[in-house]
Amino acid sequence: MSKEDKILNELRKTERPSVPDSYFDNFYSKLEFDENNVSFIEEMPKSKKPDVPADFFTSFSEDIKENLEAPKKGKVVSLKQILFSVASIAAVVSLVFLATNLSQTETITETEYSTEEYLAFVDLDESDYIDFIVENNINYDEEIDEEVLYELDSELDDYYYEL
Amino acid sequence: MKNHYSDIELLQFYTDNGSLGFQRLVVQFQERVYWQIRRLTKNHQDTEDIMQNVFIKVWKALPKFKGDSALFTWIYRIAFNETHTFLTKRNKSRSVDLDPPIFENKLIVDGHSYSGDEMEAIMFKAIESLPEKQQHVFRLKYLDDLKYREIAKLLDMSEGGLKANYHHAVKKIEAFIKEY
Repeated sequence: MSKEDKILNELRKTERPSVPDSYFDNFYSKLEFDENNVSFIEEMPKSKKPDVPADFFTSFSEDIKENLEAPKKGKVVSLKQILFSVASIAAVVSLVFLATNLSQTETITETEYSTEEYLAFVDLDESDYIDFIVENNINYDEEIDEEVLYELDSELDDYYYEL
Repeated sequence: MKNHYSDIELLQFYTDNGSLGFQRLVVQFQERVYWQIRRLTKNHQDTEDIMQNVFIKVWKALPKFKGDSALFTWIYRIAFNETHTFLTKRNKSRSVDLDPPIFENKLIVDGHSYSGDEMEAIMFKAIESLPEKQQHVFRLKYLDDLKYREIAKLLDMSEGGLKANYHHAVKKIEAFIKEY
């Protein structure tokens, strides 16, 4: 006998609390699961179910399958241009930074931020851009025009303001 | 093709062939999900839009489904959240023909008279006060008129357990309505 068993055996239990006589004999009959035992809510008259367009359920699964299989209209952009756009944003940040400091200090120090420094400054890394590309279904193997690039710039801003 | 597949079978179909497996899942649950949504939107067009969103979310989230609950329960939660988000955004001034209330008018309960709309609102509040499992059982049995056998398959529960849950739900809802 282990030490633990010995301790348990030495503990003296109190008597079990009492249960009314024949409680378990009648327990099942008191459960009232009988489906014939009708409650008032089951007697409340319900309206007719509204109509559903014919064949809706027949075609729904096909429709949803088609929706999932149809390629999403994604933007096409080259990775180089994404980095170019990041550098553009970095340039704007630099200008704002300079303009702010110009009005506050007498000494002007021109600072240029590389893309990497800018990314560090705004606390983003490459994976953030990859997330953005994936979430927006952007195909970065192909080229895009300037208009889409401009749109991407503003979307990147919105995207990271929301983070 | 079988009428009903177990959750395990459906997930196996999905693992074997994502697109086909997912289609079977949609066919199996679409009608139940549809009526759960339509009871809240009260029109087909909105229900259809929400159905699309729900099953697209199900498709995206299915690889992460852990099997902690029955598939229907899991899909129902997605449908419920999606419906509430939709209803919050829905333009209230938009004119659409709404479905009639679930109940007919001039209901007398405990000496009080209720319109169908009033009783429906009370009933929905009462249902929301129940534990989740009882909510599912009650909706499917009372509102959708499914048989215990069908609900047992849908929720992956024993018929005995369902009857007990339904019985408790009915008692609580009766008490809720009487005290309202």
